[in-house]
Amino acid sequence: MAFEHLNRAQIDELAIMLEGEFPEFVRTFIAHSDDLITSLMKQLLEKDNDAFIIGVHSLKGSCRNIGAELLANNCLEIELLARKESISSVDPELPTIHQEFLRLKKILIELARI
Amino acid sequence: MSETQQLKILITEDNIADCLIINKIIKDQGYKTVIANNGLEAIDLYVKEKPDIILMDALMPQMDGFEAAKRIKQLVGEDFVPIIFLTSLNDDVSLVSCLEAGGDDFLSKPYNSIVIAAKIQAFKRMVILHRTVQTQRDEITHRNEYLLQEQKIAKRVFDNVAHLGCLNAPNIKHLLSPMSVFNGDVLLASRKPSGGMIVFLGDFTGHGLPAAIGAMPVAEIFYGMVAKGFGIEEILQEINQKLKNILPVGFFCCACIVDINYSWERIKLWNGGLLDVLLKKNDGSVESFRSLHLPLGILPFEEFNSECIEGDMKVGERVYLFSDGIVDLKDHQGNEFSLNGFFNFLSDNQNPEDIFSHVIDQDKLSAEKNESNIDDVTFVEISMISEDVISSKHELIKNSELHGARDWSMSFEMFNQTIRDFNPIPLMLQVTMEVPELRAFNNDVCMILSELITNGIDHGLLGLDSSLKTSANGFQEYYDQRTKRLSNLTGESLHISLRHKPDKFGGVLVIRVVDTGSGFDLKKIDFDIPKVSQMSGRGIPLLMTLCESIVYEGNGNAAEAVYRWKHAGDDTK
Amino acid sequence: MSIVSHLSASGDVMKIGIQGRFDFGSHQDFRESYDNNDLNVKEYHVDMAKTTYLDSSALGMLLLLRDHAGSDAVIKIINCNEDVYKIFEISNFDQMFQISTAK
Repeated sequence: MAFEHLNRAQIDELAIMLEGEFPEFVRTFIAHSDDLITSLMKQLLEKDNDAFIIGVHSLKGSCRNIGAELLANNCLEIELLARKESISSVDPELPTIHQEFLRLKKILIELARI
Repeated sequence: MSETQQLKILITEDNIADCLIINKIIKDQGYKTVIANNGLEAIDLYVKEKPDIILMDALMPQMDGFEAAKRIKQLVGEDFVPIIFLTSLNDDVSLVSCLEAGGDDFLSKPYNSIVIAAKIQAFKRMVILHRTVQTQRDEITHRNEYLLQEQKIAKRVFDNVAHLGCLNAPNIKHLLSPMSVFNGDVLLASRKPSGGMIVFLGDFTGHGLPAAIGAMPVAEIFYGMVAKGFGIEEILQEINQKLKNILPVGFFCCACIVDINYSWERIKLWNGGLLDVLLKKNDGSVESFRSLHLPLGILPFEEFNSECIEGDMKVGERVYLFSDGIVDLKDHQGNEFSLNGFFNFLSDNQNPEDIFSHVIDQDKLSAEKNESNIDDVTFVEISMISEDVISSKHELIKNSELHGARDWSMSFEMFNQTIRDFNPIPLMLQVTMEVPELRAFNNDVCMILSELITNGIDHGLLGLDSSLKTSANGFQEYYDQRTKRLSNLTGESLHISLRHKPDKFGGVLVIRVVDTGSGFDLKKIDFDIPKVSQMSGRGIPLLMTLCESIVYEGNGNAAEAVYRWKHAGDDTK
Repeated sequence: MSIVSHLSASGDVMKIGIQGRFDFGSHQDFRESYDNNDLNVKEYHVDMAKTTYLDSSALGMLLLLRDHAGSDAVIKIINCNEDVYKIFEISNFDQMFQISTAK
């Protein structure tokens, strides 16, 4: 099954529920996810295994909530890698996450007209 | 929080975006929300805000959801605050961890507002139910405590009325639990003014205050009448009538009353509705006295039967009375006594000293096991002892006492129906008891009065034939005739006079009973003391042994008995 | 515990059957079984064939029945087992009711 960058049905539902708060929500999502990713990089450097897993798990969760399937899947793969092996097996640049997040950001900004 | 009040929900979520979503969903459903971003904050906010339901993210920095949930559940105590985990963990192990940490359910991401609504609704109902049950339970506990307090107070009132009497006499051993009156058990014992004692054991139907409330009038009547010298037949009649009047239909009192006569080594008893009263004899055999009557409080005055059974009871023999709680106690082999077991236990037992201590031990055992469906047992053992033992423990009035009536006379005449309706003996005894030291001989005085008056009525006025009393059926016929003839009495009277004078050694009491009947043939009287097996005829020969003299005048319708008594310390007869 | 009652065809005999324990908990049911009948009942048969246990509150309930039935009504207590009969014996209730055992 192909993962979507952003599942339209899901985000539309969210938009309907949040109504006027939707743009604010998107801004919050982007900002918070950005912070999370920055923290992840730091945790990789400091080799903080537990905090890293919590962080990538959290990002995965919120991606699922908005329908960012591809990014969520990328997070899952990295989470499993960190759990099964260790933080050292993870690429310190987190290329898959960075890339996909940039793409997602563009789509979201356009969608929410912010 | 009632049905109409708003539910307050604590949301613990570290991801701000997710938090926004879940908060919106919950608020849209009409609930109040409080937000925490990690486990520590959650605990803190639980204490401050006391939410009704908690949504808890599983994985969080600083303190994860599992730890926070555990700690909050401890703080919750016996209240019910459901914790729903928010998780995107989907392996079973993690889900199990949620439940082990005290979670009641979980929601997975992505959030589905319909599922969330349903779960919260369900938990809301559970929370309300739990609180209702708690409130009711607390109310019940409170009420129970109140009831127990009421009972304690009632018990104190009861104790003032139904005091121990002579239950602590050396020849009585008894087992009576302090709150047994609330099981309907009543145990009363009193010395008779004429010597000897009367014991009453009652078992009222029901439990609690209704069972206890009947005990008070019974105790008042019992102690009042025994003190005045009434016999057990009259006491029963009075108690039955009282209970019939005050107890509602369907309530009654199984009872047994025993009159122990030390001088004559006899017992007289009445058993209505209790288990057999058992008498352990010196030869090891056991005699049982069955319940022959309906319990007290059922029959009206005219139908009530106060007829008693009599038996010999020698010094050293013991009589046992007990309530039906005994069927649950066990014998040496560990078998329950049930209905006949105690009789067998008593028969087999070679050492009478053991019996009472065995019952006490068994009672303690069952109390320890806290078998609350078992009745308390009320148990009494009364031993026959010789009169000397008992009197020597009595406080005899000193020679030097100057108060009291020593030189007096009294007369009392009864006519027609009053002869049927009124027993004059207690009245006579009240007066004779005013003679200092004569109290110690009241037993004799009572006997003499009783014999003369009964003879005067039965033979003098009613013309009854005492040869009828030689068989059990004959007794019944005799009493039937007596009742009939008594109610037909007209133009007859019974005159009793008493004259007491002090003398050097003590005093002399002259009792004269005159009836208006046609008299009887003095020659017909057998003056030899009859053999024990004869059922009647103790009368006149008995008087001969007690009195200094007994003389019949006229055509036998006037009897005069002279009774001389000596101060204690001198030779008595 | 269950109580079943029915009136005879002639309407003057009421049969009340007691199944299980006849004790304090039976109070309401027992009362209801005879309470709402008309006044023509002259005889009551209390059938104890299936009664396993009887205590003093049951005796009390029978007294209430007797009170309700009146002094000229006949109350028979039938098919008592040994234990039940023994209780009637000790309390001498046979002086007020006609009590018989199971054959």
